[in-house]
Amino acid sequence: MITLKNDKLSSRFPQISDSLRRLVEQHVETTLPKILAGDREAALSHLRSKYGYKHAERSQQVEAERQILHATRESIETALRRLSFERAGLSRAGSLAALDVVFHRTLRIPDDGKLYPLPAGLGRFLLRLIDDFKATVDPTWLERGGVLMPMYQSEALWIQFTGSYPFAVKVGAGKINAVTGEGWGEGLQKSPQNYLVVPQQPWVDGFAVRKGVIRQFVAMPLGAGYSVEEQITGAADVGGLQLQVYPMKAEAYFRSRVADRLPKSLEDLVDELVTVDLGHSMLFAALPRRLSATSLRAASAMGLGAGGTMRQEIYSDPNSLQDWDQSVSSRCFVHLCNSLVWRQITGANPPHPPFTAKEYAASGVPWFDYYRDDLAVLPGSAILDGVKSVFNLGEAKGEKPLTDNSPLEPIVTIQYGNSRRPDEVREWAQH
Amino acid sequence: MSEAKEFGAIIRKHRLRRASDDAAFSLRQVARRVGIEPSYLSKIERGQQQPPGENTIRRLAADLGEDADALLALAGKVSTDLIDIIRARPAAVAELLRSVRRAPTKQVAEIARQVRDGNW
Repeated sequence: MITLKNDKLSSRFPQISDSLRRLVEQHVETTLPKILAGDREAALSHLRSKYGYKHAERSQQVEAERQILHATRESIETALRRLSFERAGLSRAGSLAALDVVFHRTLRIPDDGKLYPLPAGLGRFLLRLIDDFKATVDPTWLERGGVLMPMYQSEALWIQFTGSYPFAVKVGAGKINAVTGEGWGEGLQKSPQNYLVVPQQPWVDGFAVRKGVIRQFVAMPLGAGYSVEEQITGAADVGGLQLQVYPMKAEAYFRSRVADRLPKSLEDLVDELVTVDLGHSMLFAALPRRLSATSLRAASAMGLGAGGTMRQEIYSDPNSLQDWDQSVSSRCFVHLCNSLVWRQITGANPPHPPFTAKEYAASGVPWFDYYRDDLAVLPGSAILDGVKSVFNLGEAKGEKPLTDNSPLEPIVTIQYGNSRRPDEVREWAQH
Repeated sequence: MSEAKEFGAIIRKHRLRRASDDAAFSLRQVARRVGIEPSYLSKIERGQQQPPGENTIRRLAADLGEDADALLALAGKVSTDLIDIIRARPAAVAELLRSVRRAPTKQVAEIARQVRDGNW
């Protein structure tokens, strides 16, 4: 099930969270008797080796030892269950198996052969339920369900995925897979991998044309010949953007991500059982976040064409295909509606036109880079590499679909990921 | 203020606001487009007539660019499609409506809504 709130699509899989809960409960049931039957020496040794213990007052040390030595069955069971659920990610409010998708307005990078870093987000794209406009929307669109999103001709977008549970996500433009260039098809496949893996892939900005290179998603009126769909299929039937989300199976998630982190002995429960303050350190993991700072013909349907080239890697799935639960998935059709007809369809004013390259450069908004050296990278799609970019096709047709294609000099970059490229100068501190 | 007077005052207020920069919103022209007599519209605006039926209110709302449900509510009417929804699940809908009664408008607009997936 997908819900829409505040221009964000949220996909929840409560059945996965429930299965995970059962697996963790099973762990508690099998582990508790073992802990209760064992001695407490190892736990006491562990306590005495802690920095906080060594520097505590004698009275605090005595109390801490007492709490381990005399911990009741009930307190051990409570500690085991609480820590197990926390390690499995199940103690937070809300569902664990949850994915949020947001579409960001952004700068259209020049299509000039240069490889650009990732531009910032400049506000969320509006999303509206198509059912709210039954009277004014094309019946073919209504048939597909989903949501409506306004875009200006030649405006660009990037997609943000947020979630801490693993998901496989298929992304299509005009039902052409944005990772493989093949038709939408059914289900997930490897060789070639036709999906992205979240959360290792926090953003996607375009079509995967080569290893480490994407061509930016750029909106063009459907029927003008510029969209990737039209160039590959020869028809302008679908347009829009398609998403399908598959969660990882609870068993696979439990086995690969949770089992090793669960408490198995009394020693593992020391921090839970000792209530005397011996000083703990807390680590916060920073989630990568890109900044969000604040017409050919006016055809209403838009499709996505290929824009300029950007440095972005699509990471290979390190899991087995069997780890993904293909029996449950959520789909959404995002209709891209020309902003010029937004008022006709929805009765509301369209968003302001996109920022120009000059405005972006003058504002000092940074560019971004996300680089992981612990993950393999997909090689890109030869099909998509063979598609003409909007600029090149425009030249061939003698048209000017883009108003401004002058080069930019992005110099300030914020680095995310777990490594630096040797040739990148790190200008900003990591957030 | 009686319902009729309140409804009339709002209609008049909206119409005059539009008329201030667009002559197409005179009493006569609005009445003609909506399909009623100008004298009837005049009486409605002055609260001398009960608010008109649902269809007329909808046409007035569309012409003046205002929300039909809001005008219907002011007229003491509930749109028939809403009545059907309430009839189908009276207890659940009543509970939902009571829960949003005190919520600020922004919060009501932010209630998560399910996305329907169709055929594609």
